[in-house]
Amino acid sequence: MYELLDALINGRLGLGWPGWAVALLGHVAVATLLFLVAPVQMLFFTYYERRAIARMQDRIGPNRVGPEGIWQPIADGVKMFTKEDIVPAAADRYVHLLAPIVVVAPTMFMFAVVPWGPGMVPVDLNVGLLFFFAISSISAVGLMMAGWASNNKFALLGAMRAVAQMVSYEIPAVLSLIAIVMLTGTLSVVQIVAAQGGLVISTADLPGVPDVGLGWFIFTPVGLLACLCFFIAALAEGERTPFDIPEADSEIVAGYMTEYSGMKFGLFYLAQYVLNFLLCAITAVVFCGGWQGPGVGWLAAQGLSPANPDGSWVFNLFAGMLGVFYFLAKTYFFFFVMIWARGAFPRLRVDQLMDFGWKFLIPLTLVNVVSAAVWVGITRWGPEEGLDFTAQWSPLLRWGVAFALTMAINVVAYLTLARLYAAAQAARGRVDLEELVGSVPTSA
Amino acid sequence: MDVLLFFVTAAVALVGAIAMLVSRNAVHSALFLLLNFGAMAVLYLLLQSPFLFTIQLTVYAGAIMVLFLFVVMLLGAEQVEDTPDRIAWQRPLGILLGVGLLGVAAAASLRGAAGQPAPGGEAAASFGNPAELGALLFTRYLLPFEITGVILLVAVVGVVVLNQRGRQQAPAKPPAGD
Repeated sequence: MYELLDALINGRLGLGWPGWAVALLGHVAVATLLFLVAPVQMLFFTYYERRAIARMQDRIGPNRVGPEGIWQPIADGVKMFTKEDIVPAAADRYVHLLAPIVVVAPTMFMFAVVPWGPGMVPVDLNVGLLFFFAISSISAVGLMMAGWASNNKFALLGAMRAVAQMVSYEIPAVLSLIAIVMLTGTLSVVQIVAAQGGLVISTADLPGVPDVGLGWFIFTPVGLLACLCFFIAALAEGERTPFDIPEADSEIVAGYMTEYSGMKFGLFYLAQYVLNFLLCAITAVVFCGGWQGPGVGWLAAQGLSPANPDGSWVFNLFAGMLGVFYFLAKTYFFFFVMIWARGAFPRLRVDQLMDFGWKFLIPLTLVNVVSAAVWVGITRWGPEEGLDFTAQWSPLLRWGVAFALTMAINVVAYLTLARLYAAAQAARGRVDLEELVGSVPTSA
Repeated sequence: MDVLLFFVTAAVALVGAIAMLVSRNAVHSALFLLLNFGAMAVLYLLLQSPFLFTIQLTVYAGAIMVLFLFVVMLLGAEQVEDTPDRIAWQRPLGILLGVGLLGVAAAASLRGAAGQPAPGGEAAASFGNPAELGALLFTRYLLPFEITGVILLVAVVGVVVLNQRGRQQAPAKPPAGD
């Protein structure tokens, strides 16, 4: 973006702007574009979810406003804007007002590191993945502000539940990403996508594999387990069913959103759907190659770039369009899985949520980190790191041995942990029952 | 441009810190502290170190602030009680120690300005690079790193022990099977 604008302003038009002004203009343009895209994604997601969940429940869903009800989200938005803005008399006015802003702003910041297509990333930070999770932890503060400032016990309970859940499930989410960071050796989201070229086998593991952009990490045992664990943790982070405990409407009204009305409520809604979009996008980017797919790499190579100065910009355009198409298709697929889970599972109890996170997901992701280390050791390391015996093996053999070994580790770990966890849950159920029976006064 | 950003961010950080001290409500204090932490994070970004920026946000703004807010809200200790200090010498001693800390900080920054490298200056050349920072932590500064880890582990064990003792003293609960 910077080079393009610089060439246009200082080269073509000859205005002679200083570097910082060009950079500022470029970033403002990208940020404006993203601020337009994010609410549109949210509007589409609400419609998509309502239609999909309606299909699963043998209903039709919104179908009155526009063809097939496509303008329903806009009608909802108008309704939100025209509603009365109520602030409870006992609320802390300023914190109550600030809370939706503190919740929405971090989700918008997170767009800064999401790559949409080849070369289409707002900022390529060398700690992009870390940035994503650092920013997302801020919105927990916003939830607490909302819950506390409303001066309502349901709101406070909802906020406590939300924060406990987010803090607990951030650990498995980050641990499953660590496995991928170990495989790629970088925290940059752009380079993680770039490492996923190839055909089932990544080109990073086996040089010479035809690069059709299908070397996704989900095709390796390490990546598959990490993807499953991350997606479950993402369901909890995004407060999706079966982890929608913070806003369980049958128990605590609407959780931290109880005392909000009109567009402030709309902002919480916006934050939630944008967060869901981003979590699906990160799942697609880190585990399923993001914009990688058949054809994108070839098109990008034909296009205009510093390495290929006589390419045509038409190829750049098509590469970008195809890349964004693959990226959005994967993201929408993962959001469909979220809706599917909502249609299929009931809500968990708080203790089940905590047990599942701490006693099952975290040990499983820790084992996965060990598998990732084994994978890196066998496929990448050689005599200089002290692994002489792999030096004579061909890359294919090394890949095969790594695949079999990590597969064995992960399957054994999963089966063991699943049995232990099921046994612990059964034992816990018995103890709960005994306590319940024991507390009944027998003399009565 | 950098200087302008620096002054704006520094002003926000100062306002946050002062407002935290004078605010009467504990939750407001905690939120102003969060503002201060956020401004500090942006200052790290101005120093070309996105890694420290993210760490500042996760550790301080994300983890520690959430913990503060959790405790304040759970205890319902938002309002400051207007009782006179029970320990009379606490305030003068606090002012004295504060002045001392200011002196030490001034001396350290003046010494840094005189051209002597501060400890850990090796990382400054590649400040933004998490890989180099990690390599330094695990080779040259391995001992301090491990000591920090052991201290944190002791804290975790302490919490578990305290929690267990509280549970055993509760008479109604039978010993659980797990």
